[in-house]
Amino acid sequence: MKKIKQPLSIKIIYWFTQVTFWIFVVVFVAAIAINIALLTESLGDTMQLHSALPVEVNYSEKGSFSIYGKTQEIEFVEATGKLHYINTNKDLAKWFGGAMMGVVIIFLYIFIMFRRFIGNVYRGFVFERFNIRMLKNIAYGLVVLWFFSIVYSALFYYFIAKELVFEHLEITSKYDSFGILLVVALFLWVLSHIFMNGVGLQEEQKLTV
Amino acid sequence: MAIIVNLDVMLAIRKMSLTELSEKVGITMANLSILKKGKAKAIRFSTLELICQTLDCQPGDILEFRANEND
Repeated sequence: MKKIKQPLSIKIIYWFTQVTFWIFVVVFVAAIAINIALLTESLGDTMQLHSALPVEVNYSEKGSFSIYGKTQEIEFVEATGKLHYINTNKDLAKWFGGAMMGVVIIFLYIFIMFRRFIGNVYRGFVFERFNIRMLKNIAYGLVVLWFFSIVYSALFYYFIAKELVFEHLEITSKYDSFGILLVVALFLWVLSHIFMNGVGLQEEQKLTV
Repeated sequence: MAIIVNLDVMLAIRKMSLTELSEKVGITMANLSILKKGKAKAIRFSTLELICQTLDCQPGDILEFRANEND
């Protein structure tokens, strides 16, 4: 088969995907190991779990900074943050472990599809039916990830964030809609339809004598 | 397909093989085979001209329309 010379950008994306994929496989294996350890309760009683707080926090404090030789008064009003669960409850840890596993599995699926897609493009198979399938699968994977993230945020809010009590912080109910995931999924879905047209044109071109 | 390719008929009339036609016309055997088997989706005027010139025939001798012919 004739070797196709690919542009540098495709080569960079291909090799970057290869490296990050295998790093992610290590993360996946680590996630499985952590989950097994959580389920068998072999991590001891002094687990120190950290998790992102998916809702915004209202915090008010006045301050200032200097710019152009003048002092600018400011007020800190809103933030996102992380929670540290001191000596984490084992059942809570299992819950988070399960959520982490779900996200990692969806990410791995998307990664596998993307790696195959980029691999095909790198080998010169661009307008092919299997590439359309890959693009659609990535789009569906992103929709599943979006749904999972929304459910996770809602559950986190109702079971944890709503119950949080701090002296100077006010926990809001504003959580991210992860809309960017849907936008990317929609873009890929449209792209798959453009590819479908490309496949048709290529087939017609191949069968033109 | 409703358009029937009668290339094999013309080749038989002219007592010419597909290989010979391929050499004279300068079209690959693979492409001529696609045309002969009726798998082609389109034919360029230049290809048709070369085939007609070589086989000394009209486009209508090679291509035929049959109204009720389907895949």
